[in-house]
Amino acid sequence: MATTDGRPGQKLLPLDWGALAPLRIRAAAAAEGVYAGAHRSSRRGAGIEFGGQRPYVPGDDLRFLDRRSLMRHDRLMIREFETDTERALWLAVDTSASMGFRGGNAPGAKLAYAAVLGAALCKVAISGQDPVGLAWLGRGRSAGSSAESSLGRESLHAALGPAGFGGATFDRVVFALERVTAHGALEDDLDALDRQLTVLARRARRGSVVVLFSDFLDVPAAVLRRMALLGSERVLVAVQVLDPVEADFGFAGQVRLRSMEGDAVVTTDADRVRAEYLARLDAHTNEWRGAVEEIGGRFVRARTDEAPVEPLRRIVQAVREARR
Amino acid sequence: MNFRVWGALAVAAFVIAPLIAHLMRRRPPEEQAFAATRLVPESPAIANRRTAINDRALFALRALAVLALAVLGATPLFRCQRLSLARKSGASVALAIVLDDSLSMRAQLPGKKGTRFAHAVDGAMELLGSMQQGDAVAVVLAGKPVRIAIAATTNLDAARATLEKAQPSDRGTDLNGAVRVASELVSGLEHVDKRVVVLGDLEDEPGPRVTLSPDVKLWAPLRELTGSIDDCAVVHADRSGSRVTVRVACTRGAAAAAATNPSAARNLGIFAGSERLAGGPLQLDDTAAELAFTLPESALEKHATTQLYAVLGGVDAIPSDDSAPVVSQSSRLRAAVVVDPANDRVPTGGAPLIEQAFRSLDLDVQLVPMASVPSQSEELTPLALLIVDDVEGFTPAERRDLGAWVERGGVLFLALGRHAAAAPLGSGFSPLLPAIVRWRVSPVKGLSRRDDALFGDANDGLDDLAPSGRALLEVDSGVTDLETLVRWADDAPFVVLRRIGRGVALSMTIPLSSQESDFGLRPALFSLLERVVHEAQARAGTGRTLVGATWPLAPLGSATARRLGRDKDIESVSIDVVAEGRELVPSLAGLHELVVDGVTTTRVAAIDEREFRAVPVELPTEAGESALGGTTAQVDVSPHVALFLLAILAAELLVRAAGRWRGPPVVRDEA
Repeated sequence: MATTDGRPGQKLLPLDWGALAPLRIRAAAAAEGVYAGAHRSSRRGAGIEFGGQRPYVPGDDLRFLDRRSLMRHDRLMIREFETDTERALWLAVDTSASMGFRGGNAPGAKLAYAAVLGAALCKVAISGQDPVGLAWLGRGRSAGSSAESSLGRESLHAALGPAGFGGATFDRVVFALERVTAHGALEDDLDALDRQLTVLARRARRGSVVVLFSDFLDVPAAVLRRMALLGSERVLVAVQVLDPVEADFGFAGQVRLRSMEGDAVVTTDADRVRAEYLARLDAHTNEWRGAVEEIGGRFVRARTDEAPVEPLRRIVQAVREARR
Repeated sequence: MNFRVWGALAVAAFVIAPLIAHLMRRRPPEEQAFAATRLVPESPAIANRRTAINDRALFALRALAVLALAVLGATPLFRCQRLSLARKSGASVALAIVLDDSLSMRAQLPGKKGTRFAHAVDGAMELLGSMQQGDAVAVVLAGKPVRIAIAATTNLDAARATLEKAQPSDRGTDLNGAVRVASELVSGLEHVDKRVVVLGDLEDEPGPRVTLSPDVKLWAPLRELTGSIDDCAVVHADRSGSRVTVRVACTRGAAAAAATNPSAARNLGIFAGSERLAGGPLQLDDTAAELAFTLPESALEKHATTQLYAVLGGVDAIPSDDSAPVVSQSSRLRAAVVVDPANDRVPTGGAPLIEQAFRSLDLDVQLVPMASVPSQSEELTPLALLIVDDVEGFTPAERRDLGAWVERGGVLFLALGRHAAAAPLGSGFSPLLPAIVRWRVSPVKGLSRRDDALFGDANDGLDDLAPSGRALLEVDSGVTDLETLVRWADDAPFVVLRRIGRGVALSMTIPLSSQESDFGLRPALFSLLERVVHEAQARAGTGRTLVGATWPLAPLGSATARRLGRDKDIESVSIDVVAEGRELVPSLAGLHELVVDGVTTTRVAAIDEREFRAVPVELPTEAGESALGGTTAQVDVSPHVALFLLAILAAELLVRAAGRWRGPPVVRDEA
C-alpha cells in the first residue's frame, strides 16, 4: 500500500514501478498483442502542406532541418507540415499524486501502468507510421528535473515538442515516461491545468487521437469543460486507470483513509461501506463516461492488475469505434 | 513467591491476554493513503458501537483485574507500622525472642491499649509474621527464673502457638540471664545471621553488662516499652499475734513522686473482706517501707477465720500488686545455721560470714543461729533449712533424726572441712552424704567451668579458688543417686546433692570459714545460698516463696491447686507435670490452696522486691541498629492480590455463564 510519511502526494517520491519495469520491454510486449489490424498512416501521401517552423530539439528527424534558416540565421529550425488526414497520437498522462497510488495486489503504481499503456500505444502508432506526441496533466515532476520545473511545462514547451515519427520518438516518449513521478493535486493549480489542456488542444490537430490516462478520481470538474475542446474533430479516448483496491475497495474492518490530493480523511468500516463506495465509484465513473461519450469520445477502464495488453486492445478498439 | 502467587499470575495472564488483544483491536486504525477517499462514506455509528460498553459487569471485572495486576506488579507496596526483620541478601535468620514476662511488664502502656506485655507479645507475633521458611526461632521468657518457652525451631507455627499461650506474671526479671540463654540457643545453629531480640522494658537488677556470643547480634526494637513507671506493691504482710508487718516496695518514679508531694501519700490498710481493721499513710524510706500495725482484739476475734489482706489504696501502674495476703509470721521460712564461732571467726568482727550473707541477700528467711545440730527431732520440725558448717560428723541419733527430717521436706546443707574428716568413731554423714570424708591438700586450683548452672555468672571468679585443703569424698559402693552439681578442675566433686524423700541434702567440699578459703567472700556464696533457700522454700509446707519458684508437690496420688483472690475469687492454677514428679510453679502472687493426696495446705507466692530496684540495662550499641529491622514494614501483599485475581476470574466466569444462560445479548444497530 502506498503510504508516505507526511501528507500523501506532498512528498516527491520515486514512482513505484514494481513489476512493470522495465518500461520499454513491457510496452513492446503489450504492443505485440495489438499489431494485428493496425492501420497504415496516409501521412506520406499528397496534400502535405508546410505548417511552419519550430526550434530544433535533439531527436528531430534531420531530414526536416530547414537548411535555409540555418544558413541565413544560423539557427537550427525544423520544418513542420500539416495534412487533413493526420492520425497523430497524443498521449496525455495525469501525473497528479493520486496516480502514484499502488495497492497491495497491484504490480505497480497507476502512473507506471499508464506509462506502460502509453508506451505500448506509442509503439503501435510508430509502427503504423503515425506521429506520436506526449503531454502531461498536473504537476508531476521528472526525477531528474529541478524542483521548480514541472513536467507539464517542460514537456509542452521544450522536451517533447510536436508529435514525431519513428524510433527516435518512441525513445523520447519512453525516456520521458520512465522519469516521471506523481506529485501534487490537479486542483491546486487550475490555471496551469487549463493552460496544459489548451496547449494540448492546439498541438493535437484535427483527426488526432488523444488518449488521456487518468484515474479520474480527483480530476476537477473544470477539466470536463475542456473535454469538449479536445473532443472537437479529434478522437478522444479517456482511459481510467484504477488500482484493484480502488476498484474493489479491498479493505477490511475499521480503516482510516486520507486522500492523496486534498485534506479529506475518512474513518469507516470497510466491510460496511464497501457496497456504497462501489456504487459511488460507478456513479462517478459513469459521470465521466457520459461526458466523454457526449463529445464523441470513448471511455475505457483499466485495472492495474490486468495484463496491459487487455486494456490496450480495448483502447485500440475504442479508437476504431470513435473514428467510425 | 509461592505456588499460589505463580498460579494467580498464570491465570491473570489468561485474563489479561484477551483483554490486551481486545484493547489493541479497539485502537484507532492506522491512517492510510487512498486516492478515492472522497468516494468513501464515513460510518461513525459503527465506530461508536464498537467502543460502547455492552456488559458493564464484565467491564468492571476487567477493570478490577487490570488494577489488581498493576498492584501485583508494584508489590511490595503497602507500608504499615509493624515490627519486621531486615535481611541481608535474603539469607535465613536465626532469631531468639526474649520476651519479658516480669511484673513490670504488666503496667499499662501510656497512650495505648493493653499492657507492656501484650504489646511485646504483639511485637513477637509481628516478627514471626515477617519470618520466612528456613528461619529458626526460639522464645525465651525473661521472668525469673529464665525459661525456654520453645527451643530453636523452624516450625513457626509452633512458635506462634507458644506465644499465644504466653501469659503475664508477677515474676522478677532476669534479663541478662535470658539474653545469655537466648544467645546460646541460636549460637549453635548454622544460620549466618543470628539475632537476639529483646521485647521488654530493658530493666534488670544491677549487674554486669549483657554478654552474648560474638556471632549473635542483639536488637531491642520496642523502645516504647521502656521508661520508669509509678507503681507500689505490697511485697508481703506477716502477722505475729495482733501485730501485722507489711513490706511495701515502690519504683523509683513512685518514690520520687511521693517525696515531692507528701500530701498525696497513699494509704495502707489491713482488711478482712471489705472491713478495714487497721491502716495508715504510706511513708517510704527510699523505695521501700516496712509498716507495722496493731489489730484491735475485737476485730481479731470477729475475723478469727478470715483471711486478712494488706491493701494499698490509690491508683498506680499495676493495680494487681496492691494487695497481699497476711500470713502468720511463723510461716516464714526458718533456717538454722550451725557454725562453730571458733572456726568461723570473722577478722573484722561481727556475725559469721554465712549469717551476714543471709542478711545481705534479703531472702525473707528467719535465721536461727545454732551452736550445734539440734539433738531433738522437735527442734528440727519448724526448720525448713539447716546449714551445717564443718562439724565432726553426726551421731547415729542425729543422722536418724536428720534423715527423717529431710525425708519430710527439709533441706540440709553441709560444708565439709578438716573437722568433718576427723569424725570420731560412730559418727558420719550417711545417709545424708553416703561417703567417707577425708581432708587433703587440693592438687589443683579452681573449679571446672563445665558446671556453671549453680553459680551462673558468679562462676567466673572461681578459676583461682585455692583453699588450704579440700574434702575428698569416698562414696560408698552401690550409691548411684549422688548428683554432682559443681566439680573441681580435676573433676572431683565440689557440691553434691542427694534427694531423700521430699527433701534434699547438699554437701560442699570446703568449709565456709574464711580461714580455710576465700569462697565465703566471693559472689558464688550468694548464688549457692539462693539455691539452697529456694530448695527449702519449695519444700516448706506453709512457707512463702517468690513467684516463679517451683513447688515440688511430689504427690503419691492426685494434686490440685487453686489461687485464692482477695474477694474469694478462685482462679485455676495449672500444674506442670514433669518426669521427676508433679510440680507447681506459681506465676502470680497470692495465696494458693494446694490439695496433695487429700491434705490441704496453703502457700503464698510473693512478688520479688528486687523487681522494684531494677535499673535500665546497658545494651550493646548495635541493639538499636535499623539494619536489623524496624517498625515500619513493607508488607508483601502479592499473595492476597493473587487470590483477589483468582476471585475476579471466578466472578468473570460466573458472569459469563449467567450471560449465556440469559441468552445472547441484543446488539443495537445505531447506524
